[in-house]
Amino acid sequence: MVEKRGIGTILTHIGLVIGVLVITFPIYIAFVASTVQQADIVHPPLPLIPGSYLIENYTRALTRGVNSPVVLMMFNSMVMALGITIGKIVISILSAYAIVYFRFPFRMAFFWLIFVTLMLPVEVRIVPTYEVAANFGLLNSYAGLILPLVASATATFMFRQLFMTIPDEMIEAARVDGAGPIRFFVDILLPLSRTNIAALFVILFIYGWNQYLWPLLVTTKPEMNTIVMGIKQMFPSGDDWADWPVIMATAILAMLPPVIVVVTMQRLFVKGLVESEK
Amino acid sequence: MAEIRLKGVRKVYPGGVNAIKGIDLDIADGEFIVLVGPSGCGKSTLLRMIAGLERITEGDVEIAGRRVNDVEPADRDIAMVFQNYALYPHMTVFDNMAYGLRNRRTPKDEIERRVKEAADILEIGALLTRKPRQLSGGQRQRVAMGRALVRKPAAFLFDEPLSNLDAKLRVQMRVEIRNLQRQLATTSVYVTHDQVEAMTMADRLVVMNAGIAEQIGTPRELYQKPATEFVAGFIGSPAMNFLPARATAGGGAVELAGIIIAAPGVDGLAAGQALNAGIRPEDFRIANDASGHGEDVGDAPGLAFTVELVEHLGADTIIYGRFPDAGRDRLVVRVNGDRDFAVSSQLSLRIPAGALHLFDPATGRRV
Repeated sequence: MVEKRGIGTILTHIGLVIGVLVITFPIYIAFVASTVQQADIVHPPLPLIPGSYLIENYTRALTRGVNSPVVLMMFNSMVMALGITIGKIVISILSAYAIVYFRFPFRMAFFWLIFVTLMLPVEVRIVPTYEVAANFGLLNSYAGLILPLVASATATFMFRQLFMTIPDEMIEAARVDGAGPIRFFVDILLPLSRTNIAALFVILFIYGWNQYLWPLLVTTKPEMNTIVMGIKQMFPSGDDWADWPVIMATAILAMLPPVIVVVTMQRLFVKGLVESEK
Repeated sequence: MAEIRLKGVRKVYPGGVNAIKGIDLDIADGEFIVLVGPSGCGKSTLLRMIAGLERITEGDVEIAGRRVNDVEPADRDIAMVFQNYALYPHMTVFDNMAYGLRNRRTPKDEIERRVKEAADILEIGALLTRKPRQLSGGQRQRVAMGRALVRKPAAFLFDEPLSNLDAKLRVQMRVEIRNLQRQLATTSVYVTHDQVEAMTMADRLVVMNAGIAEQIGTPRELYQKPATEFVAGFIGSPAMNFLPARATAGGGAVELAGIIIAAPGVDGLAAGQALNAGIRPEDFRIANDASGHGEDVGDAPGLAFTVELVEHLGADTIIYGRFPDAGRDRLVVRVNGDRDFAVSSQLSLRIPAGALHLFDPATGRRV
C-alpha cells in the first residue's frame, strides 16, 4: 500500500476520530447513565461525567434486576446464543458435507430446499413456528429458544462453497491413504474449515445473542427471559417509573459478551473471511 | 512388489462418453510403464482405474494376481503421486507422510522410522516440521513422493507429477524418480503428456489415443518402428513429416514427389496404392551444394527444398521449408548446428533408403 504522508494522514485521522466519536457517544451516554442515580438522569441536563454508583448499580442489576436478576438473563442468553451457534455450525457443516461429497437421490433438490429457506426470515414464519413450538410443549424452555433457530441455510451454503474449493485430488489422496468418510471429515475437512468455523461462530453468536422477537414470544416467565428482550421488559408499563441506572447497566452488560467474542476471535474471523488456506 | 494386469479394461462414463475402449496390458514386477498421449486420450482415467478412484465399466484389473475391481484404493496396496501434490495443507510434512500409516494403525515407532527413512532418501529431513505452504514446488513434490514411499506399496502410480515444476527442476526430478524406482524395484505406472519424460523414463511406453493403446513397446521400438501414424507423429521432436506417396510396381520402393525412394521390406502392395510416407526431421540428408557444404550422399535423386525459417538450437539447427512440388505442408529438417542456412535458399535433400515409415492412409497402420 502506498503510504500517504503529511496533511492527508492528519485529515484522514480526524475523519476517523469523528466517526468513532459519533458511534461511541450513545454508548458512552448509556455507560454514564449506568453509573449515576435515577435522580441525576431525570433532571436535565443529562450528566456527561461518570458518577460514583457504578458498583452499586451493577450489583443491583445483576442480583435483582427489575423482573428477574440480570445474571440469570445473561445465563439464559448465553445458553441460547451458544446453543444456536454450535447447533447451526454442526448441522450446517454436516449437511454441506452430505450435499457436496455424497451422491444420493434428490441431492440437488435438498440443496435448493435449504437454499430457498434463506428467503424466509424468522418473522415471516413466526406464527406457524410458534404453533409448532407450543404443540411440542417447548414454551418457556431452552429447547424452545434454540431449536426453531438452529438450522442455517447461510452457513450450509458457506460450508458448501468452501468444500467445493477443496481440490478433488486431496480427497483422492485421502482415499488412497485409507481415510474413510468419517476420518476424512475429522482429519481433513474440519481442520480446513477452522477459520470459517471461527468466522461463523462470531457472526452466529451475535445473531443468537441479539435474538429479540422469538424469545419474546416463546418465553413468558421472567426467569426464562433473555437479556436482550429483558431490557424491553424492564421498561415500565403505565405509570410506573423506569429504573434507568439499572436498565442502562443491563444494556451495557448485554453488550459485553458479543464484544468479548469479537475481540478474542477477531484474528480468526478476519482470516476466515479473507483467506482460504489451500 | 507386484505385477499389474489389465484385461479388456473399458470405461464408459454415465452419459455415454467412451473414455477407455478396451485395453490389455501386462506390467511386470518392477517395471516402469509410462502412459503417454495427448490430453483427453484417457491416460489419466486408466491410471485412476488402476488406483481405484474410477469405477471399471468392463474388464479386470489385477494387482499381484488379485482382482481388485471392487477393492477400495486404500486396500489395493498402491500409492499415488498427484499432479498438484495434494498435500494436506494443515498438516506438517511429517504428518502428511505419516497419515496413511496412521490410518493403517502402524505402530508409532515404526511410523517414525519409516518417515525418517523416506525423508533421508528424498533429502527432506530438515523440512519435517514445516507446513506445505512453506515449501517450494520441488520440495512439495518430494513430500508427495515421500508420502508414497513410506507406505512401501506394491506399486507407485504417478499422475503427471512433474508438470507443475519448472523445466530445470523437472529434468532433475525425472532422473531422481527413475533412480529411486530402480533402487526400490517397485512396479510403477507413470502418466505424462511430455514425450521427453516418457521416452527417458520408461521401460515400456503405452502410447494412448482416444481411449485405445496405439502401441505398447520400449522407447526404442516406438521410435524406430512406430506401429501407427499417430505414434509416428507423437513420438519424436520435432514431429515426423508426412508426405503422400505411391507404391511402385514390383515393391521395395515408393514414389514420392516425383522420385523413387527405396523402401526395403515393403512388398505386396498394389502398384499405385496411395501411402502416407513419414520421415523424421533428423533422417534427411543434405546433398553437397556448389560450395562443397553438406555431405556426400551418392547419386540418389535429390529433392529441391526451399528454406523458409531457420531455428538455431545450438547443437542442432531446425530448418522449416517446402518442396515446391510436393503438397502444401511445411517440412521440418533437423541438421547439425555447425552450418548456416540462408532463408529462401535452395537445398537438395535426400531421403536415405529405409528411412521412410509407410502407413496406410485408410487405417493409419504401418505397412
